[in-house]
Amino acid sequence: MLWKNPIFIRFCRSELRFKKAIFWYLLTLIVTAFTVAIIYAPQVYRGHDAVSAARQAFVPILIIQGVILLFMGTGSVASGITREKVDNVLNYQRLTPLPVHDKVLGYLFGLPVRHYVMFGITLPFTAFVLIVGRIPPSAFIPYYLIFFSSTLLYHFTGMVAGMISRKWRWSARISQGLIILLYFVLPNLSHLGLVFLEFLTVRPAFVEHIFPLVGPHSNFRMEGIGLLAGKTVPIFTITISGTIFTFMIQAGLITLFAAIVARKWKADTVPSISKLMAFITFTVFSVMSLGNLWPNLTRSENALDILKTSGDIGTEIALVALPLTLALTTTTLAFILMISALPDPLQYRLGQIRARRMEWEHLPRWADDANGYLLTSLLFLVQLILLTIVLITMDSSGYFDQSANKPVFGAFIILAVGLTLFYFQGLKENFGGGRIAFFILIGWAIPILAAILIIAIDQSRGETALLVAALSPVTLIPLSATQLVDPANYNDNAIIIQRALAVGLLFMTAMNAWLHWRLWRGRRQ
Amino acid sequence: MESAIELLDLRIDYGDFTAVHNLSLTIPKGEIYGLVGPNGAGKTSTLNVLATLLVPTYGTVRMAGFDLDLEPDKIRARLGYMPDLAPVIGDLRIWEFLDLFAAAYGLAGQEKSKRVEECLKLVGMWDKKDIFCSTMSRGMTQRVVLAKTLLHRPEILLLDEPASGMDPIARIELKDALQAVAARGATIIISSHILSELSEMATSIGILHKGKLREHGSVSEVLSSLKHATSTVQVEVLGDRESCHQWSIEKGLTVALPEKHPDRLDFEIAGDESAQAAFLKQLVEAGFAVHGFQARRSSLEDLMRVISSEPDEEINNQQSVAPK
Repeated sequence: MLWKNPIFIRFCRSELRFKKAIFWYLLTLIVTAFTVAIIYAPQVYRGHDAVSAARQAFVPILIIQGVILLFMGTGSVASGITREKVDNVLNYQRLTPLPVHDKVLGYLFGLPVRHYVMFGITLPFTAFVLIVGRIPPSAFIPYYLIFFSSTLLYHFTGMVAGMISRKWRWSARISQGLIILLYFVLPNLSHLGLVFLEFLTVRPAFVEHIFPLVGPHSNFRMEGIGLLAGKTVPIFTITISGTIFTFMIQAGLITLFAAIVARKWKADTVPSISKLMAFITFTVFSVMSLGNLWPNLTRSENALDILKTSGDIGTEIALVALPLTLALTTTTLAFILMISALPDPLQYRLGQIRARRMEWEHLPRWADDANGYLLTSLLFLVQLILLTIVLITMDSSGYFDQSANKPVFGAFIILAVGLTLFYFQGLKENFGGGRIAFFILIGWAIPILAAILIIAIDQSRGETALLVAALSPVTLIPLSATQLVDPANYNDNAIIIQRALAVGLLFMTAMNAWLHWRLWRGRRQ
Repeated sequence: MESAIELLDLRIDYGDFTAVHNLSLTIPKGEIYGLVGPNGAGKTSTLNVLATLLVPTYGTVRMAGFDLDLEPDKIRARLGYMPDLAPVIGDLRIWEFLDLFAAAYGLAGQEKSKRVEECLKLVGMWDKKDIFCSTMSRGMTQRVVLAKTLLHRPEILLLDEPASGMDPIARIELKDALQAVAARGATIIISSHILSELSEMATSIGILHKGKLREHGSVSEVLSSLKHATSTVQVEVLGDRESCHQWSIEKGLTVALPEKHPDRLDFEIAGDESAQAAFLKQLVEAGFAVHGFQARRSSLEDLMRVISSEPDEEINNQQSVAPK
């Protein structure tokens, strides 16, 4: 029980101390009271409908509650857990026999306990607008379920950021980065067909349950809300309510984050996630992505309008865009998971010493300090299967009818993705997390920047620019996807693109050979 | 005698740097064991492994009868660990800080309150229980963290520099407190730079240098290993100190002339007491009127100085002392 949890009690004592908290309580009370009053009172005074006025006041309350729990609460969790870690207090807790779930729950609800109280201060005003505004429980209960699920997800995000980062300032940056990713970057991928990424936030529940109550002329409509209005989530041939889907996806992420935090509680030095967990996460995400793309692949009634009819310009775009979307999103996720699950050079070497000492031929394949060949191969296998399904399904839906090229040209994407994954594994195990950033800057970004510079100086040097850009894996995967389109569409540029692709693939193969030879040599030494 | 801690072939690496080389050591139950060594010797790394906070490259560790690899949770429940520069939670009162950990170790109700009181009284902080941890001095912090470490009556106590920042009276109280805890049957490992105090407190010591255990045994055993080392002999002569100084230089002796003592010469003499007696005889036979002769007692500092001055090659070629 939470109220008996010593860590929760500790935070109740320190965070709710009257002198420390009274300012925040008063601030919340004044801001909420003023906001409700300034919206509700003038309308009623002027003789407008009280129900409508109360409903108008509901939206700013939700915003205030969001700022308190989602924004301030998350910051408090991320910085609090890092402070505990940097101060070494976390190690004290590691040594106590308190079960790991008690430790996690204690910090998860204890660190933002003041923010929960501040949220509580807004509740009388919430009750007022719910009653006066005659807002039905069927509207606000699902919304608040998603709101609390989002709160848990965001606080877990802060906790994970705090647990995995070694420096205080990094935890704040990682949690800010994760929130930007969850709230702003990933939802935009919905434009590429991956609509489920919109459902990481509280916005779909707002649109589904609160937006209809407020009405289209409200001053409190959220930017871009129209895109979400009335949207359900297509997964293969079924559609799921946005709210239910949000709950499902958030529950999945919370489970993943809880597993990361539990691992880090047991030992700080282990990779954030196990190889098995990385594989399961990747598979679920990839299948979900495929499920989202499915209506577009099969040109069903849920497909984007541009793709519904054969022979349209959309077909040409889809030939590249659909496989590329899946390839890029799954490869990006694979990178994140590989960074989190694969050993850095030190762990890798210590693992080898351990194996030698134990007189084992090699460490167990799933061990944290074992090399990442099995995981990388499995991730690649999942991508290979999914991309094959995508290409076969697109072929049977008539996408290739107008093209001289056939689905077999998709082998270039699969090859590019595979080379990129093993290249990344080689980088991680040879150079570790810190130097990877350096490598990505030099090896991945510089060729693209150099290509842009070449084009900017002399537009006739397009071929040289493309050849230079092809040295970066970021360019290689899109280049490989272009092979699905009829070369006639590229006019004279087809041969240049093919040449650039060949250079890119050769370069990537050479880099792979070098990186994995280094690892092999290290093992022998 | 039943052993509380057994280390076999413990190795700890940080990248290319090996902090601890194949350390083997057995510490019997009820011992107060002093782990001594200069900075970077591997003391804290060893304690972190024993505290289950650091995974060694390899090696076997058994504590309180449990294998560290197989049953770390059982070891943790029997372990009290006080790190170097031990932190406290600044926004809690002292009693709240202890209450948190007492509850985390499963104590509840009256028993919890009594234990908090008992531990705070043991370290002399009971009358200050209501002040905030953030207002404590370094010495007070050390005492409060020690109290926290003792809350669950651990069988094994690991204390990393526990006396740093403490005033002399607090150090005496610390010594008394630790001896009381050891008398109850707990085994204590203390790492410290305050060697003189460690020699008074510890029942046995181990000297770590560059990750290797150089000396190990009871305090007297370890000090007796100083026989091959040099010691300082203070000689007071009547008359011309300068001529004695000249004689010493001609003999190739290392000698210093303390400014505040016009009659005194400080000699560095290699060997044990018999070498000192022979040196005194030489002085008298050379005609110097010696009216004072005092050999400074060998200390752990001397041993540390000797070990620290040895070249790396010599250290690397020596084997760790076998477990006793």
